Amino acid sequence: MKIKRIIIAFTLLLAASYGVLFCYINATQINAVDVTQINSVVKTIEKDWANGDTEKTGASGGMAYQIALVTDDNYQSLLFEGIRNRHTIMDLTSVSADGQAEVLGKVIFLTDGSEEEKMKNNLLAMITVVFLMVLILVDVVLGMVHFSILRPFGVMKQFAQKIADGDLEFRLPMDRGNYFGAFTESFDLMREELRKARQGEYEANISKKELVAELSHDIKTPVATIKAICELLTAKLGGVKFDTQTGSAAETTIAESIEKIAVIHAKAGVIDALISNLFHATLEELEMLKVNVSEQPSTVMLKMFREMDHFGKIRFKNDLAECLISCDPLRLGQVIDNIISNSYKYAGTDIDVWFDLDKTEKYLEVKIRDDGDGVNPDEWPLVCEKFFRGSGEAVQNTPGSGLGLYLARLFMEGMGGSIRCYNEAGFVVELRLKVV
Amino acid sequence: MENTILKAEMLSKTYSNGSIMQHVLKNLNIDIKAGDFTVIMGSSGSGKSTLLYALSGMDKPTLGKIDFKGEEISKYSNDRLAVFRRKHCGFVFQQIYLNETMSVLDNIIISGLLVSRDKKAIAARAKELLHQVGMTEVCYQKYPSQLSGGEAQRVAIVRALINAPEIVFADEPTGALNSTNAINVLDVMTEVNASGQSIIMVTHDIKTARRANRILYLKDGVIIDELKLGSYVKDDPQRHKILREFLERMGW
Repeated sequence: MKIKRIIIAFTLLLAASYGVLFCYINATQINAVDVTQINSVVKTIEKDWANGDTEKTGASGGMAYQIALVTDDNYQSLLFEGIRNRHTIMDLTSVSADGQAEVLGKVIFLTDGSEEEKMKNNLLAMITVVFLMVLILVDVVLGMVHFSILRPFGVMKQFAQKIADGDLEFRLPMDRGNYFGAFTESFDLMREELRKARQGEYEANISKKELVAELSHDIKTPVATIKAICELLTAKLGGVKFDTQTGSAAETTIAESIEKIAVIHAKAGVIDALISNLFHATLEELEMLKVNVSEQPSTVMLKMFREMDHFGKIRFKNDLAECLISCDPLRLGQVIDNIISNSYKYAGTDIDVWFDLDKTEKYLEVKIRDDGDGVNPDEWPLVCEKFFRGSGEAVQNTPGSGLGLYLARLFMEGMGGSIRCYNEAGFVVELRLKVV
Repeated sequence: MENTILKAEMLSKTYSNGSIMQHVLKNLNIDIKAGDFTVIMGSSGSGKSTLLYALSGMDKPTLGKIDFKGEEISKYSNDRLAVFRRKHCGFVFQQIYLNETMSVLDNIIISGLLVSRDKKAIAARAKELLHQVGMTEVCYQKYPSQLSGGEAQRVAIVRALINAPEIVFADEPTGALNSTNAINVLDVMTEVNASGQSIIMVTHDIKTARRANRILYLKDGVIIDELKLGSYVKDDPQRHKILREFLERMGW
């Protein structure tokens, strides 16, 4: 704004000066004909004439002249022409012997009467041009100063303000033709470095949390397996029959083993609880774990089920329809892991699995059912909520975090699929996976 | 559905290189009816040839099943598949693959002998087919090097037909021929189809595709659409227009 005011003020000042000067020059009368000189020239001519120099044309004192004698035939016409051309005309006289002045003719000075007007006009035109040039020059210089120096500084000020506010995405525009281009570029580089550093810090933080969350969730699976195998071993060793003779020593060994297994089981429980605590702490901030969806053959699921079939309780009730599905094998493995682990934990019965391919709607349904008590129908919509645990006796008597099905839903939705839980002569978890 | 001879369900073909998987065909469902002239079109790398080879039992699909007249051929062993191909499939390729050291007739008879031992009957059928495709007796004893490209491809068609296959699979049969020879070969295929022969052909040529009564358009391993055309009528501008519009819609 300031520069604009300066330009306006300067323009007004210049216009005013111009106006004053113009009026002054316009009002000035310039007498272009020097009368003294003319008289002096005339006197010189008269003297020369008296001395016999009767040259009719000549120049003296920087002025050309012509003499028209009254005796000349063309005297009148020369005189009229002189008058028409606004020449200065003086009498040429000679003093006769009797002392009488006699007019010989006229000295016509070839001066132009309009010259003074012309000069004045030329002067005014010159002044106008000079004033205009000064005005343009100063305005252009001021404009350049504004555009190439002041405005970039203004942008930089705005930029600094944005950076101070933490907006590191605001780019500083760079004009390569500008003297300050390199200067502003280094500022922008600084911003870019700051942004990268901040982004790096954010990503490092997130990945650290993700790592903890993933590791803690991944550790839970083998721990659950250790616990399940402890229970299996306890059950198997408890059922061993002894003959009466060698029995007592063996019985003691087995009893001790069961005791040790119980310790392993308990410690595994402690690890499980600690991991859960760790997991909660990171999960709260993470909100969601990464799901990398790719096109996978549906057969990957068979391997996932087999890996979870520690107790030989999983039964496939029909053939898996072979097709390509959209899933993250790691996450789908965790989903199946969580569902089967839950079933082992709370029902402990056989687990039946059905596969159903819907070609029209393009999804593959996996139905996993156990013969347990199931979940109270009121709680069906809640079982996939974070930290929700059912009110059933089996659930209340078994430690757990209430995260297994929550994560299963998170992962299934991340894969573009869905999960549904209900009772049907046992607890049923129905997974729907998107078919490519 | 009684005249369906070939049916693919959720057919997928995946090539793996370490942990990198490339799904060339994705969950394809196709029914091929007896007497159909099916053309598979699509841009390069869309999976046309892979589909043709999977359907013909030349290659095994990674996932899904292929039924040929109720038999699930996708479960066959390689040996059984070879027998199946000899009996039920005929093949015509862009490269003609005639045995250069054998005469035209012998090239055809040797393919016939893979299925039947009755050489006389095979020779008779070969001559009949050669006549049908416009090859004169003069050509019978010629060697492949003495034939023009179009003639050689017609011999290859006869070789594909010698065992009276249910389906002829053709992979760009006119790809290496000049336009006159290509038209001759296509005329032969159109005639063969008109006599009831099922043909599945891969092409990227609109003039070739015009002969089919069904066009499947493949993109990134998925059939994105299909066009049903009636039986081929020569010089039918409407047919060409419909096909062109279809292909334009497909982003051809």
